[in-house]
Amino acid sequence: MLSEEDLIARILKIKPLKENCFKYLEESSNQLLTQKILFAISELTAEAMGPVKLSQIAQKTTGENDKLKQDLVRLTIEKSLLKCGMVEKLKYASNDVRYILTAYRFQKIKEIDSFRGESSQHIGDIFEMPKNTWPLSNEFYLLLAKKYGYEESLKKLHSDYDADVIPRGKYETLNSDYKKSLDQINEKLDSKYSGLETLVVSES
Amino acid sequence: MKFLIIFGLVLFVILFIGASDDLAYGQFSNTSTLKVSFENNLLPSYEVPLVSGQTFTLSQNHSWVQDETSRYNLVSYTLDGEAVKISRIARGDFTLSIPTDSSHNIVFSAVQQHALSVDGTNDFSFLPSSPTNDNWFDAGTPVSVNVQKTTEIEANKVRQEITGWSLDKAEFWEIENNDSTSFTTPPIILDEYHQVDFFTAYQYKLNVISDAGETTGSDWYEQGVTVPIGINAGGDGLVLNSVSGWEGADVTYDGNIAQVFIDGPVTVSAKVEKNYSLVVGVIVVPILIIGVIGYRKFKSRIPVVEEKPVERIVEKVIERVETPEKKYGDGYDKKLSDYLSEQIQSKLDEMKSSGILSDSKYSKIAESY
Repeated sequence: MLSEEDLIARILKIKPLKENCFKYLEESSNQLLTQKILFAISELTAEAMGPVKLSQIAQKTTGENDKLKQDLVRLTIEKSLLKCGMVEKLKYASNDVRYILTAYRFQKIKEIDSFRGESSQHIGDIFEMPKNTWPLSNEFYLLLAKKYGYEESLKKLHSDYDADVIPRGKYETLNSDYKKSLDQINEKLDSKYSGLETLVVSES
Repeated sequence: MKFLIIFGLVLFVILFIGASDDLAYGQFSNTSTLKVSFENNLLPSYEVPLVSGQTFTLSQNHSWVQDETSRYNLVSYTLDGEAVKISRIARGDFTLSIPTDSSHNIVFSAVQQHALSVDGTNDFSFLPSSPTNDNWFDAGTPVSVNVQKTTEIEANKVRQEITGWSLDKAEFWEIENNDSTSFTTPPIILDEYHQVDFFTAYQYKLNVISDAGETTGSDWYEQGVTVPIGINAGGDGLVLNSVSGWEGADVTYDGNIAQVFIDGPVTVSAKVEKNYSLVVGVIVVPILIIGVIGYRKFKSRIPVVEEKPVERIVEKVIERVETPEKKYGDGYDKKLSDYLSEQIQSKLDEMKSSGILSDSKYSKIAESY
């Protein structure tokens, strides 16, 4: 299985897509199997925290996972999503092939071929897969919640001390304990989950 | 004769045109080629024509799958006999600009790698670390997994302790409970895919606290155990302390022995009362005796002395022993801890409602939290 670092790298990455590939993400394609497959892979990966099997994707997108449906989904993936580089196929064993998105954020680009050479131009905003389908561990969400909890608790502690609700000794002990816990949480968010907090919380 | 001259001229023209064509062909057909091959024929060789004056960039995957459980990863290349090392990367393409002035020959070298999967903990590292900075290692490398035995789930309340591990779900070993904070597996030879699973148990903190004396029993315990707790109440000089009871969840106390059932993080506090009998015996009684003797001795000289009741004298003495303190409300720690839990829960709710956190993950986190 893929490491958590690998999954995080996929979230942080912004993949440029040509118009013919970006169309699978657009509203106009929301009835297409291709878009349904993309969202299904994203959702299933978030639950499994790793690549997912064809049968699971078929079940999620068509409601069935018989051979016919699996073939239909496989062909769709191979003809479009693999070619566009939006999905990666991983072969764990001869009978264990799994799929995962290469990125969770995509930028539409237009390639310009002029006498100065090839270049690309960004078109529109970055498209993000729904955040609740990003493969983030429970630990990450809990760290975010705890960070908020400790920050709010420290504010309350300070105001209670100012209002003379608690003695100085108790205030200093609790202040030290809570600050230490908050520092540990921030340290972990800044190291293991570097860059994610801003992406998940601030830009939501 | 005329015919021969004409024939000779025609032949000359034909030969001259032919020679000119050959010359022109010779000028434009002399294109260079790039021959790309792989050591030990790991991938098929191929040739690419190089057009003079145009840049050519060769691109090759850093890694490619060989079979079910192994892959190959680029380590170096040889360009026209000159060997160059490649910075080891797991994914992406290695690119190289090739001069198009002449033909070139490039040979890529790669090594076989196998994956080592670790389940059951996120707080681990490989010894040595992977050359491709992931969980893939060159074939034949001995690799150990170093894991932190304790993971703090909630500060000073809940933690996860590694209790055992298995290799390829076939063999199981228990991990000794000693003072070491980390555990390192014996080297595992990466001659094929391996999986290491770590097994964990939750432990909860029991805090035994008291305003006076020294408590016993504060430690980390697994769920379901019953732990004896105690206190050496001591005293402040002549004022003795005695335990009148215990406060906190799941404490059983029969007047002598106190026990706590561990069903989560618990804080219990001893209710300590002050006993002034020694103060009365050592200070008040002698004062009274001296007072009575003095009273009798100087009765004739002292006209009227108001007799103070014993209780009032005792109160005076106690007032001197105990300095008055400002009273604050009890249980602030718990109130703040409850407030913290409420804030964490509200943030989780907010993340769920704003579409950051899925319903299923929210449920799982709520269960574990």
